[in-house]
Amino acid sequence: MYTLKDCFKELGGSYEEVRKRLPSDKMIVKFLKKFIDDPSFASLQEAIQNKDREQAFLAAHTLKGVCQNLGMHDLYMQANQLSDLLRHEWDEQGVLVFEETVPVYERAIQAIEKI
Amino acid sequence: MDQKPKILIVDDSAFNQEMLSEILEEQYEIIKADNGFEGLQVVEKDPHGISLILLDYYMPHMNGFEFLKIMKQRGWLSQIPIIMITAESDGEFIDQAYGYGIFDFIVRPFNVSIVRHRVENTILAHAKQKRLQYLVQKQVKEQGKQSDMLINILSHIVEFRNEESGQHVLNVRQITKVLLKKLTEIDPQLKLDNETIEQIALASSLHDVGKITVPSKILNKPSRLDPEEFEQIKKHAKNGYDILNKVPNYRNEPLMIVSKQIARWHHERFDGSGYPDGLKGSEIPISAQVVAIADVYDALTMERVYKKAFPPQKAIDMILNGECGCFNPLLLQVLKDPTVQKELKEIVQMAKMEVISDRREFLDLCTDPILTPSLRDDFAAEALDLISKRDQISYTFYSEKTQEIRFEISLDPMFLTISSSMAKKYEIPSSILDPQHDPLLLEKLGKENIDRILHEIECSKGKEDDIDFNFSTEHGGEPHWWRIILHPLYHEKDPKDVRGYLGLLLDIHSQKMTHEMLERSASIDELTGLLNKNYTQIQVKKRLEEADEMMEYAIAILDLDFFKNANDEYGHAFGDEVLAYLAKRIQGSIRKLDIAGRIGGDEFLIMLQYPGNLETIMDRIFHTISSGSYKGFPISISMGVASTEYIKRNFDDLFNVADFMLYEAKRSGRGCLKIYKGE
Repeated sequence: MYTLKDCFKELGGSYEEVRKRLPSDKMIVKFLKKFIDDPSFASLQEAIQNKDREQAFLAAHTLKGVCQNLGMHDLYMQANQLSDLLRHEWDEQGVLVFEETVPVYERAIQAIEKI
Repeated sequence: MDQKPKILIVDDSAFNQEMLSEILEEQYEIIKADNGFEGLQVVEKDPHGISLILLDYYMPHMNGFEFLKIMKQRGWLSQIPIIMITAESDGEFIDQAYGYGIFDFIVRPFNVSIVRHRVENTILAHAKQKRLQYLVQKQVKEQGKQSDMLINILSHIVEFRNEESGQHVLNVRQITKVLLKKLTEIDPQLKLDNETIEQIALASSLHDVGKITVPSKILNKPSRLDPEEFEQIKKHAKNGYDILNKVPNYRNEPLMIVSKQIARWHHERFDGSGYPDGLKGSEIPISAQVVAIADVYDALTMERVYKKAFPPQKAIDMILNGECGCFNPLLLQVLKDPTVQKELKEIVQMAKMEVISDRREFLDLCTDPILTPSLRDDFAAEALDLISKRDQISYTFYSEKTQEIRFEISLDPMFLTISSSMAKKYEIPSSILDPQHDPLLLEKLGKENIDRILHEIECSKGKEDDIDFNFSTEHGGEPHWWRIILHPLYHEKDPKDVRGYLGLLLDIHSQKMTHEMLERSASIDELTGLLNKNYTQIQVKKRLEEADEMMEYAIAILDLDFFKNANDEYGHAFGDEVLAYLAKRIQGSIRKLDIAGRIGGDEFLIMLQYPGNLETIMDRIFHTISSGSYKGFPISISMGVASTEYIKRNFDDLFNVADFMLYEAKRSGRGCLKIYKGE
């Protein structure tokens, strides 16, 4: 049986930590499921392709906040790195970091879909 | 009243919005805005209806700080507490955010309990703070009002005996305040804080208290006082001091000390020529010096039993010229200040508004948003509702009927709000961020007009006057006329720093068109299409006033020979035709810049500027007009000419001489030209 605890292990986070902040499993599951439809990753992808620094930064920043709230630690670290990188000006390294981010994102989506 | 308090969430991430609503929606009504601009629109609609704002920092178009800036400029920040939500923990950022006026932070990742508690505490704390503020204000107002009231009663008793309306005391008090404020600005050594200024102004109400000891038949004598009577009047200064001095208990109260100074020495003059003590220069306390000028100014501008009222400027000139005695040069400098002069002028008008301002004050109290229902009762919330509803109705009524567009502009960042009914009518949004780049506005107003408005705003910096000018937009290829008025709004802390403008846009098109049409029809002679008599005179006078001294001008007056015959033989309709024909020939004989008008039945005037020989020119004109015939009626004219070569540059003189020369032409057999060339 796949539990929330297992799910958070795959996300690189800790169920216990999240459970302290968010009052019920029901709410945790609800928002994890909602994350699947969150447009910030798609927006980030588009912005990186277009080298649109501002959009990329805003999307990475939003993604970072969402991951932080949901205890999705691995993806949070990626988004954090990207938003720091693109805060002031375009940095070519952002493309590389984004490429690393793609599998982390896909793993997170799979982990959530299993619930 | 069991409505849930409203919380506005301003965040560009739908995910974050939903998470916060999930946490808070049980207790609160949630309004969501995707960015700062949408948030401002929500607030603008109902600034009193929102209990708290949760604000993200990084958002497209407008970041959290820019949002806070506008909230502050519009005065909404003091109404609604704001909690910023952020993952930032850098100290500088946090300081900056508090500097922009946020109430508190919520740091990511959210802890649901902390979010709930912080939101609840903030709403309560803000309400408590407002309530405390209100109570303190109320208390201060109450205390102030009571001493105010007693002093007013006292001074009114004096004025009542004086058969004056009581306006004098009120005016002197306000004038004193205006003068003192300016004086502290220009004299850095004089350190008067606001409280002291208020105190001196209040004490000024008692300046004439000693008049109670002067017999009223002397006080109200309409004719000139004899020396003995004048001596009696003069006693009021010292007597006023004595009366106040005998008041037990309050001897050392600052208000009492100032009142005594003013009562005794408000008729002293800077050179020692005043009474009762003949004090000189700085021996006279500044309070008494200022009230002395205020007293004189108001006395000059008001009608009294023994004199008529002087206009404000005249009164100021009289004081500056020393016609009312010698005053401190520094105070005269204050009096020369244009803003001071403007304020003094307004004081009389403002006094008439007294009744209205009372109601304003009441409204100020009532609109203080206090959450506790029991306090609400205190403020007669019902009355407030009635008044504000009435205001609302009248506002809508007037702005609809007058077709005014009312708006407000905040600067930095630029943000425009427009009265909603008008926004709807002209199909523009009622709030626009960055209006100077808004494509819809650019299309409706035209870029050059927007640039002009920005230019006028730039030019008006540092000036207090309203910006007021007319401009036209294009409407179906035709110009359409508007008038725009912008009234600057200043920062509370720095009165020189403009934070925005209240604006009024008026459709003056039909008014302007009617005006132009009227002016045209009022200036043209219907029959001939030339200028009519009145307007000819105006134009000629204007031309002479603006005339170049080096240029020479001539006036010719002509009439049609035997015109009476045309009327008698062929009828008036034919006569009219002849006149119209003649007018055409006159018009054809002169240049576009020259003036031609019909100044009587068959009498015409020509004015022209001429180079070289007048005789040749007039001769050519004369012969061009006076030749041939109209439908068998011979066109022959008599013409008299006067020029600035021989006559003063003055309409009447030139006209009379030209008229005389016309008479000469007629006398010598008609059909000829006579030019005046000196005696």
